Amino acid sequence: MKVKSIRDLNKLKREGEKRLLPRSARIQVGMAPCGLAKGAQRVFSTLQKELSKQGVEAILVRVGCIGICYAEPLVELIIPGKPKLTYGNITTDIIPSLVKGLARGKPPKKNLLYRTNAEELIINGKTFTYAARTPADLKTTPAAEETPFFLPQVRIALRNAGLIDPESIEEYCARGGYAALHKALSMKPEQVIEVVTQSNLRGRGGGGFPTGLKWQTCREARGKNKYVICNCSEGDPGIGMHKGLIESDPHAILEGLIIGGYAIGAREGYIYLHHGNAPAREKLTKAIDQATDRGLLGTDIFGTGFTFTITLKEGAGGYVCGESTALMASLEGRAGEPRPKYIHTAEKGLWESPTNLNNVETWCNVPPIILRGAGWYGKIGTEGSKGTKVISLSGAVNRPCLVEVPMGTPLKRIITALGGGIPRGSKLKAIQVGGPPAGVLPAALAELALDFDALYEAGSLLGSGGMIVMDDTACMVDMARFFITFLEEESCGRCVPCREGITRMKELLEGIAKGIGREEDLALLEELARCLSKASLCDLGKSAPATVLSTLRHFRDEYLTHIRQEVCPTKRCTM
Amino acid sequence: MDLNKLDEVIIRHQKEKGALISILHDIQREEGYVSEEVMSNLSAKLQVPLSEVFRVATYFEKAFSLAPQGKHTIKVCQGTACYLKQAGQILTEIKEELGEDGAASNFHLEQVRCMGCCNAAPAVEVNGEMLDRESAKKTIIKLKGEK
Repeated sequence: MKVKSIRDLNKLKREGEKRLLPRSARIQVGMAPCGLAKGAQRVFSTLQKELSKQGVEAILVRVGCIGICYAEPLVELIIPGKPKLTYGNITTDIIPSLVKGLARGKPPKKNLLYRTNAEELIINGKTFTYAARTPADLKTTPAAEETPFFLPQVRIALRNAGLIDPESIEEYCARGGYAALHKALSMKPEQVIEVVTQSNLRGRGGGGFPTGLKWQTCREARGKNKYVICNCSEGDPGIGMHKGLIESDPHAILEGLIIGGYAIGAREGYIYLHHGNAPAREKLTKAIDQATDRGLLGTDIFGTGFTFTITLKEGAGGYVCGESTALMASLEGRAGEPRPKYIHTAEKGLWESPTNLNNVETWCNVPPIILRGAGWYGKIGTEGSKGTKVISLSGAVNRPCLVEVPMGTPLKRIITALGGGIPRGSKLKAIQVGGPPAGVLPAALAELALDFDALYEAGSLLGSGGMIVMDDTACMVDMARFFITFLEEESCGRCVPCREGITRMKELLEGIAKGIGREEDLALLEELARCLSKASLCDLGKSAPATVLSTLRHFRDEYLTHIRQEVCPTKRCTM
Repeated sequence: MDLNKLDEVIIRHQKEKGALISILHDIQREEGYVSEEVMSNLSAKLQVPLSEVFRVATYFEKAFSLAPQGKHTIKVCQGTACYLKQAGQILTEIKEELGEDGAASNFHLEQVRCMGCCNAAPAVEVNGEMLDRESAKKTIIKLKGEK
C-alpha cells in the first residue's frame, strides 16, 4: 500500500499501534552495540525458546538503545493494562520466571528497574499510554520519568530510541512518524526553511552552524541538481551515539532528510555511513526499502508531485572523511581528501553541485521542529543554543549511558545525575566534551553549561557530544599523546602543517612521556600547535592540537613533573 | 575473483554514480581482499586509470586489504573510553595469545577506534560478535583449537 494521504498514514499508524500495544503481550530486548556486548543476543534467543516452551503468546522485538547502557542487557515487558516494566542486568537464568510472570499477569520484581505508565510523544506532544492506573503491587516500583536518570532528560533526537523496532516503519508511524513530512509538503519550501531558521537549530556535528541559514544558502545557490547529505561518518574515538541513533531509529533520519531535500530543492539525498558498521547498514537499507515501498520515497510523495530518493553509501574509514569536502570526495568514489573551502559546498559540493550536509542528530531534530513549530523548540535550551544535545557518556563514571539533555545543563549534573558520579575512591580530573577537537576541561570548570558558546569561550567545543570523563588515574601527557597518535594515523597527508606538524608533536610528547623531555619542548609544542591551527587545510588539522594546547594550559604542572622528575606520576605513560 | 563474478559486482552498482568504493567493498567482502589482478580488471572495465583504483584501495587501508587475511577477524577497540580502561594491555595480551604456536596467520587482528560499546569498555569483537574482555579471550582460545 502506498501512502498518499494522512488517512493512509493513519492506517499505517494503527498497524504499528497493534504491535506496540498488542492484545497478548510484547517483550522488547535492547540490541544496540551496548546490549550485544553484554550478551543481549543470548537473552533474546533464551526468551524465544522459553516462550515456545511455556506456550506463551507474545511479540518478541529487538529494539535499539534506550540509553541505560550500564544496566544492559535490558528487557521490557508490555502487558495489556499494566505499566511498561523495565528490567536490567538480565541473565538467562531469570528468564523462565520472567516468562512465567508474564503469562500469569504477575511480573516478577527481581531485576525490575522501573515502570512507565505513559510517555510523552515529543514529536507531537500527545501522550502514549500503557496503563492509566498503577496496580497496587507495582506502587513501590519507581516511575521512570521520576528517576534521576530520566528526570533531567528531554529526548528529541532519541525520541524513539529503544522504544520501537527499528525495522518497522509501522511502529515509527505509531509514534507520530512521517506526519512532519506530510506537514512540510503542504507548506512552501521557503516556509519550511523559515521554521528551521526561527527555531535557531544549530548543527550538531561540531561546528554549531545555524541550520536554517545553511539550507537557505543552498536553496539560493544556482545549480540544476542539488544534493542533501546525512553525515553518519563517526570517526571520533569514543563516541558511540551515532551508532545508537542509526540503529535505534533509522526512519527519523530519513524523514529529516526528505524534509530537508524538499526545502532546499534537492531530488537526491545521500547517507554516508562510516565503514564497518554492518548492523547500521542493514537497518538503514531496510528503512529506505520500506519508505520506498510505501511511497514515502520515490516519485510523487504524498501526491504532491515531489520526487526524492535516498542512496546509502558506505565510506571506507578515515576520521578525515567526517570533514564535509573529504566526505563528498569519498562519496564520488575518490580518495577522501579535503579541499580548501573558499568555495562553499553549498555552492559547489558533491559533483560540483550545491550540496547541504548535516549530521545524524541534526536531521533527527528536524521532524519535531516542523510539526511542533519554532516556538516550541525555542523554549528548550539557552539563549544561544536552543534544543537538546545527545551525549554519549563514558570513561570514569559509574553509569556509562546515552542521554539527551536540554542545552544549558551543567556538565557536572550530567556526570553526577546521569552518569551516577565518579567511581568511589577516585576524583574527577578532566572532561572531554566533544571528541579530539574539543580538548579537555579541568575539573574546576565542571560547572560549565552544555552550550555552544559557553564551551567555546572556555576554549573547548560542544563538538559531537562524545563526553569522556577522566579521573585521577588518567595522565594528561598520556592523553595528549593518545590523541596525537590517533590524529597522526588519521591525517590524510595532503597538507604539510598537519602531516609534518602532528608527527613532530608526537615525537616531543613521546619524549616527555618517557622522561627525556626538555622544558623548552613545551614552547616548541605550543609553536607547532599555533602553526597547525593557522595553516592546516581543513578543520581536522586546525583542531588537531586542541588536546595538547588545553592540557598544557590546564595541566602544565603535570608536564613539568614528567620533565623535571623524569617520571609519570600515574605510571600511565610507561605502561 | 573470476571475471564473471567481477562483472556481477559491477552490474550490481551500474546505476550508482561514483561506485568505485562500493565495488571495492563488495570485492573485499566476497573475496577477503582486493588482488592486483582484480584491480587491473576493474580499471579496464570501469575505464578508470589503474593508478586511481590503486590510489583509492590504498588510501582506505583500513577497509581494503591487498593480500588475503586470516580467517578470523578480531577487532580490539582503541577508542578513548577503551584506552582509559587499559585497552592497550588487552591488545598486547591478544597478540601474545596469537603469537604462540603460530596461530597468527589464521587470525586478522585489527585496531579500531570506537565500536559504540563504551559502556562495556574495553571492547573486543571476534568474528562480528561483540565481547567483553574475558569472553573474548575464551573465544580466541577456542578458535585457536579449531583446525
